[in-house]
Amino acid sequence: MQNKTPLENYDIIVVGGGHAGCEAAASSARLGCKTLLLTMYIDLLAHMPCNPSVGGTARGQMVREIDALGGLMGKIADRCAVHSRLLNHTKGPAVQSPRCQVDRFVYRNEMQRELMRIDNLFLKQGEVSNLILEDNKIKGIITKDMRFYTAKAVILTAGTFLGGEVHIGQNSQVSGRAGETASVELSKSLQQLNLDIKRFKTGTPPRVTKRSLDFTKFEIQDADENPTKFSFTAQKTLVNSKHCWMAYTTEQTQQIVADNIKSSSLYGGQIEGTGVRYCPSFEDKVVRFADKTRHHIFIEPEGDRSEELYLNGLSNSLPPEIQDKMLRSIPGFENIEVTRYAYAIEYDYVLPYQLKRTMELAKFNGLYLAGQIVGSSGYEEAAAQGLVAGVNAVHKLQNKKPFVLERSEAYIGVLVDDLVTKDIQEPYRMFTSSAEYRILLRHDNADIRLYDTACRVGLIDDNFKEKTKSKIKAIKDLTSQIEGRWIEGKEAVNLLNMPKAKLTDLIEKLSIEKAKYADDVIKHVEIELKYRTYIKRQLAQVERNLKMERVNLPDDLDYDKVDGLKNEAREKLNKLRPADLGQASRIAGISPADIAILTVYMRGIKKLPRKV
Amino acid sequence: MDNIAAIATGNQYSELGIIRLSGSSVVSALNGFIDVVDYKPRMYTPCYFTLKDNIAYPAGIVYFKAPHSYTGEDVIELHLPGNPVLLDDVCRELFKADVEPAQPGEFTKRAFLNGKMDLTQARSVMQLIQSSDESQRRHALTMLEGDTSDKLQKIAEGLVSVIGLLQASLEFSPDEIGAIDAQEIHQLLKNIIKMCQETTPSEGSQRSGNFTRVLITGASNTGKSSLFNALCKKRRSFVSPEPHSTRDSIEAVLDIGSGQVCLVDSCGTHLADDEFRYGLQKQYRNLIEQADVAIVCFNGSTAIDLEQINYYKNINLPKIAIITHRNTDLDLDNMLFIDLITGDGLGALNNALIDIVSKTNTASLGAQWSKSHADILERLEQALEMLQNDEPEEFAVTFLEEAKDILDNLRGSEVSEDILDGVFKRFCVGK
Repeated sequence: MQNKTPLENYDIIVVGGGHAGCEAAASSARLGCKTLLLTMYIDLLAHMPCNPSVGGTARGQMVREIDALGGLMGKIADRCAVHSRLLNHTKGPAVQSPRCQVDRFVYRNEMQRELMRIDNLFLKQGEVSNLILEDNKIKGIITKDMRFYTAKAVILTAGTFLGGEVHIGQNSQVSGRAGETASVELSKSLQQLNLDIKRFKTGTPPRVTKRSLDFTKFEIQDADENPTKFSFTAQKTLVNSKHCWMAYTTEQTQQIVADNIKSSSLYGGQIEGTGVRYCPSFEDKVVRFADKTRHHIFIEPEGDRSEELYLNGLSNSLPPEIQDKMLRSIPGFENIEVTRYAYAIEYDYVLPYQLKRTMELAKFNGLYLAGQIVGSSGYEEAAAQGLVAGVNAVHKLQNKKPFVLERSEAYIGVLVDDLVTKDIQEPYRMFTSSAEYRILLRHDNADIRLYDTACRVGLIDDNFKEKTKSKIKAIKDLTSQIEGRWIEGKEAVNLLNMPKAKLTDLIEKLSIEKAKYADDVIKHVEIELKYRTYIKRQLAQVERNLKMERVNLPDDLDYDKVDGLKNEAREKLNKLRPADLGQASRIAGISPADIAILTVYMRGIKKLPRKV
Repeated sequence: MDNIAAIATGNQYSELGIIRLSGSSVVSALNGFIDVVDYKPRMYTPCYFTLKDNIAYPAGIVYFKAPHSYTGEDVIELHLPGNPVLLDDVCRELFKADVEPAQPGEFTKRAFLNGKMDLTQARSVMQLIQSSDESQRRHALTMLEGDTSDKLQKIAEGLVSVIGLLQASLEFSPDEIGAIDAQEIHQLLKNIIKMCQETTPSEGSQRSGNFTRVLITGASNTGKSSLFNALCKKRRSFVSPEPHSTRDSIEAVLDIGSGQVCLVDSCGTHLADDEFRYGLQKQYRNLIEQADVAIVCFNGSTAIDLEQINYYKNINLPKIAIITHRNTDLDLDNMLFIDLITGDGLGALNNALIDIVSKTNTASLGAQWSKSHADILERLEQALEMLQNDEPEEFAVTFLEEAKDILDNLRGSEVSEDILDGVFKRFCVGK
């Protein structure tokens, strides 16, 4: 096979055109590498096979981080938002998260347009059947129709297509998503690499026609009057063109599911993959929450011009006739017309502990994985990993330092670190509770906190740089006008400590020229001053922990030679091969004593004379 | 803050007790406690040490200026009357100031990191850290035995559910999971604080648990009680040739010369084949969990089966094998022969114990626990206050998470309940 003449030579090949693939390909090409994006069907680039929405708690923060680093997701989502909300807007600043329903058709279209305009980026349809490696180094790929492309790095973002199997009731078929073929050959090719691979399951709810619903029976879910954009550079104001609604299932709905539970793929034995605690299917809800009399459903638009609606909350794997029956028992759904039935899908994923924090497989030089293929869940998680993989593939080819975000810098840092460090038992979804420094990782400050990193990576344009620079300056300026000032015998900043106190009132009292400062500057300064004690406290923790983060553990460290470690610690360290002491300390079962021992050992081997 | 302190002289009444401090600002950390300021390095300076109750104890300090000290940092040896209760109290007060309890093996670790030790010593430093960590953890468990440990479990569970409730309200909208009652959270937190306040361990329980516990174990009829008696030099344990004569464990404080240990005579190790013996085995498991050192007896005059040898090999503690009648076929780690009639070999056993005990220092544990306890309580109270003042929940959660970390650490690293698990059991979310 290797003797075949290559059709073309690339620096980097991205396999898969989902959210991970699009970000990976765009970043790699824009950083100067000749990039091929190979996807099974170009019209389905950046497809949203499940919920047509972007953002949400923790995920909204991540989309803003992607934007601050020069990625695409936020920008594209802003262009096709139809219903936007800032979740948790009544709560504290650290947990407010933008989320919007998008037009999935426009989203795909806009992404395709964006990608096709990027220099160095080439899109081709095709299915990869073989990875070509020599001495554990990637050399290229071969497609099913026998095209051979060489590359110095390959990024696999195959989503749920590896060994994908779709289940509806007793009916199971090999498929990557409903109606699409799975990637069987690539699965085999990966299995030959002897990677640790397991199976996950996920699912999606039914889609129905708008005309078959009785909207008088539903509650309207309001969008925000002033929608929060994801992108820091977007000019256009978002318009809420669509409604979302809430409906409730009845006891009859639950009875129907309970009576037919054995006919569902999940409970009938068809599915063996591990399910998701945070995203149970409707069958699960009925079984696990038997005492609840009703469950809520969000009815969400699929697009601006679409007649289909998405029934958030009804994901299941029941046979079609039971799905119909179950739906008709919901008030407002009596005359329901289902266009696409709900299904469950099982797929292979590569256990992410086998990756480095650059998303490169530790054992295979130049082979990167990102997105659902390594066990994550969600478009945003996938996009974030795609960006990390794309930038790192380029950095490696250009002999630059790896692009690794710390847990204290970004949710993206938490995401990657958790994936490579933790024992991933279910599809990994980002939660605000996963980020210990969440007070620092707000959606509103993503541009500021990632500014230096973004400049180093080089994906943001000069306009954005200038804009952020002057924002940082304005923030400093406004802060300095408030700190150290006194009002009626009280220090001005202390007046902000009261929960309801607003910075705008203070600005007025201090006769500061408010017009000079943009709203986002005032918001930023307000948060930073109001919560300064907590922010300072977290910054101090970051500082303390960074000392540990910075002690690197070499790739070839033999933990069997480290005296005093517990056996359990030795096993885990040998398996997970943490990059530094900080990561080692987060592995379950590694005690502070083990870390102290490693500290001593690292100091010891550094001083050891070189072997002659 | 990098100052550390620990009691250096073990846990017994004696003429003199020494607390050792090390760190960049130990001099200023001691300022409020002692009545001298300009003491010279490497000189013994008499002074008075004042505790919070305003009683001044006669003391003395020896100051070793960095880098000319054991750790390479500023080190102060604080000499006090050798009363374990007093030393413990002094540590408690220091831990409230700019001083942290020393981690297992930390003085030696610092000495090594500051280049005070030869590279060849790194190996022993690393082993010391692990063995003192294990012995400290076992001691902490002994100290918290029974009631207190149950209470800590309850506090941990309560904390997990409060953090879970707060996080659920942050991760999911009221549309998805319904409104969460703030009053419910406040009440739960108040209950936890109350439980925590009631969990201060009594002085007595700390003291008795603080000796290194040496467990005598082995199969039935191998001479465990005879050994116990021989070590105690008088007949404390009832000895008989019938198996299972010793049904309850018997303890005695034994002076081994370098300090005192608590010697524990256990029941036999034979597997349970009836209810009665099963009861004994359960008790035995408790004994071995609390022990620091195991002395395993073998009767060399009878055949020693593989089960007994494996039993010895599987004990995960510093251990000594005692052969009570010479049998030259056996080959075990740390094997000693003892003739219980003549007493030959008892001296060697004593020396082996001294060696093992010198590697475990658990004297500061009481004060350490009390510091953790205060730290937990402080964070819980702060979180409650913030919630009651309507401050953002995510800040309160941070304090609760810190409290949980300290608690987890105290209870051992293995016990960490999954918070999200609780959330998804209670709330029904999903697409």
